[in-house]
Amino acid sequence: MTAPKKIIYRVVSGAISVAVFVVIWSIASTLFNTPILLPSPTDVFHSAMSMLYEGELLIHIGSSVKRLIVGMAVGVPVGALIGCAMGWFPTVNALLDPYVRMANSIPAIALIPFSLLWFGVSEFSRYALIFYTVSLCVLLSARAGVRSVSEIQIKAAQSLGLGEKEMFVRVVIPAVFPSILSGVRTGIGLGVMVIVAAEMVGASDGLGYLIMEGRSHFAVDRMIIGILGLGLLSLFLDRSFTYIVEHVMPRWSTKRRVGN
Amino acid sequence: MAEWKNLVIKDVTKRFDSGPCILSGIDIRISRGSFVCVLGPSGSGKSTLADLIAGFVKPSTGDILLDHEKVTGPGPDRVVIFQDFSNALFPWLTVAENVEFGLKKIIGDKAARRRKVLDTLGMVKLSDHIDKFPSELSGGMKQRTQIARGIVMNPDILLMDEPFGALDAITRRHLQDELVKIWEELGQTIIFITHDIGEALLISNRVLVLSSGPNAEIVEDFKQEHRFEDPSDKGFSAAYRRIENSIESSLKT
Amino acid sequence: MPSEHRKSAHYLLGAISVVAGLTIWAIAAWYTDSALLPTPVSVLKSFSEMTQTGDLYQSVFDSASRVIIGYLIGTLAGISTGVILGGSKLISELLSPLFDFFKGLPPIALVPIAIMWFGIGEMSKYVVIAYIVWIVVAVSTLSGLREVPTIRIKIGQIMGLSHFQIYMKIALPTAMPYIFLGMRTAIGFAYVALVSAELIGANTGIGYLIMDYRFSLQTSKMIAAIVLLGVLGSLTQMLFDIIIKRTRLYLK
Repeated sequence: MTAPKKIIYRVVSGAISVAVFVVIWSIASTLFNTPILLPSPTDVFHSAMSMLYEGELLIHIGSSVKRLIVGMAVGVPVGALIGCAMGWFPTVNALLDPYVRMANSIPAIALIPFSLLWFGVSEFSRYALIFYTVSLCVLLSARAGVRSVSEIQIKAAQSLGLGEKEMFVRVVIPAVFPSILSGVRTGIGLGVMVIVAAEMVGASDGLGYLIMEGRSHFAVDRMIIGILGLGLLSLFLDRSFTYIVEHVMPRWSTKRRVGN
Repeated sequence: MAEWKNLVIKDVTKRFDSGPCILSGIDIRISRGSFVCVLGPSGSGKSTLADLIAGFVKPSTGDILLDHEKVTGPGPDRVVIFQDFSNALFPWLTVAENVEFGLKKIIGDKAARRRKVLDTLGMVKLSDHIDKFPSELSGGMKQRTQIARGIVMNPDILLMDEPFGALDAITRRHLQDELVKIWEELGQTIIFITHDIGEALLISNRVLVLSSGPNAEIVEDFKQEHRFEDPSDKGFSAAYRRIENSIESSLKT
Repeated sequence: MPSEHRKSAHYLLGAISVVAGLTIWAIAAWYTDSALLPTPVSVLKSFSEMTQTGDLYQSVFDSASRVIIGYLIGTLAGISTGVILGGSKLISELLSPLFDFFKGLPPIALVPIAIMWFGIGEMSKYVVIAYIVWIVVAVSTLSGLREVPTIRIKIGQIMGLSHFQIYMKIALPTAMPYIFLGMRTAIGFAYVALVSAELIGANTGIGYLIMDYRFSLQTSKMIAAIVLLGVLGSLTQMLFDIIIKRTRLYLK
């Protein structure tokens, strides 16, 4: 498919998806006919517009995104570093592997009570949760990436005269970079989930708070706005990340690696 | 022209741990500037021999010498060209950057380095593709890039491990001709591993035949004054049959 | 390479590291308020205390039945959705943005509205768990069906199979590894959904216990419950792997 055709195709499929969703929703809300429990799409659209005008919606989205970015800014490099070290040095892996296994088996959401206990209902406790989730996620994919560096690549570099240290900098790290990026992508998804959970349990702004507040005021339209906003935010972050990787830094796209 | 070094493989045997002996009593001398093919049935230990010369593995007994110096590990004086060009090239680097990869340690001056890279890419007919990524190249072009990355290092020996095995017949024929031309121009030693008798006779002036493993040894050291230009040349089929026979008889024993 | 040797060295180092970690934890706990950080020993003690009361078993049973019921419903719905929509490449591709959207929607966001719609009882838990399992399994079934190599379809055509036969006999079996991979991923998601639902609105279950112990500042019990949750999750995934291996339905 050519590029413009692809864009048209995407727009069409997106529009059809939205249409299907809205139609099913409208039918359901007409059938149930209890606007308190399930308001119609138009009702929700109106409240969303007014929340947008008053700037309320953007504040909530902004707070969630800010938490995500701060947590990731610290979590990604830490996870990448430890993951690379664990993949490259068997000793480091042997020492840390039990902890990684343990952490990996516990859903991050279950740790929310912990972070509340230690850091209270604070911005810091939310950052800590995101940091934990994202760094673990990036760590796992970086480690897997290092392990999958092809033996031939290493041999080729040795044959061209590279020593151990240079090998790490000039071959291993670049070879692992796409894996780290895909770990970041997964991390964004998990990060959104954790931040929402944290905002639900204790916060005064953010999309998770919006949903929880809607519940206590029995305002289902606000809850739906929070849920849809969250879905759109996570879709937007995922798509723009993929776009940036493929267009701004094509060198590091996994696509370059496949079929190559 | 630089003085290339001679390669001496002195009574080398190789076994991995307690496994069977893969190579036994390999004793060859390859003088500078020769184009040698190592031929053998699959499982004969051709690749092990290549790994030994490259320095990826160490011989169990015996020595591998470059002029009087013992080979202890891989290095840019014996650059390896791998069959698996997809993995051998670095996908995050362009064609030119791939070729420049090993050169960075040798030539400090950026402009001089660039000039050398471009010259070499001209030799392998890739001048129009220098800024492409490997994923945008055909198999033949990828293998040309790998060859350029090897010869730009000016190695004593270019060690090619079935380099054209994954290419289609036509591309393969082209690359064989080009490789011979490059060799005639540069003149360093090429050790070319293959299982294709015809290929060996058409490109090299010396064919070493390995018997089937375990305990593979050199059963034939076939030297030809002149390469065959074409399979229809006089004497080609006789030479072909002779080598085929020695492989066949090594299979029976 | 003596891999046996290396493996045991690996485990030895791991054991040393765990012992060191526990020691550091114990020392740190010694100097900290036990409500913030209890000692490893007190966590163990709490766990054995918990096993002696019926509460723990009731909670584990409740959580397990939620996960199992929600997971089964979700898997069934997911595979059916995938199989029905996957028959048409056009439909599956046109609707893929919709599935992407819902896949990115954290299940926890749906917990409050599910409680509102289905009550605080078991139903809302089943719905949230089944929902996320449904999406995950449907998406992987659809992507598996999209990845069927054209050659296999052509072989079916050469053998004179109808469109429907090709779908049932060639496309679906080819997509099987993807479906199983999706089902495996869905286990993790099901646990996340379970914990989400139990943290926010439940009166029983392990997630509820964790939250309850936090409010009563019984931190050692809270840690024991969190670890138990992790162990149960891993066990479920291991069990799934064993079943898949035994039945020779290999994961790709």
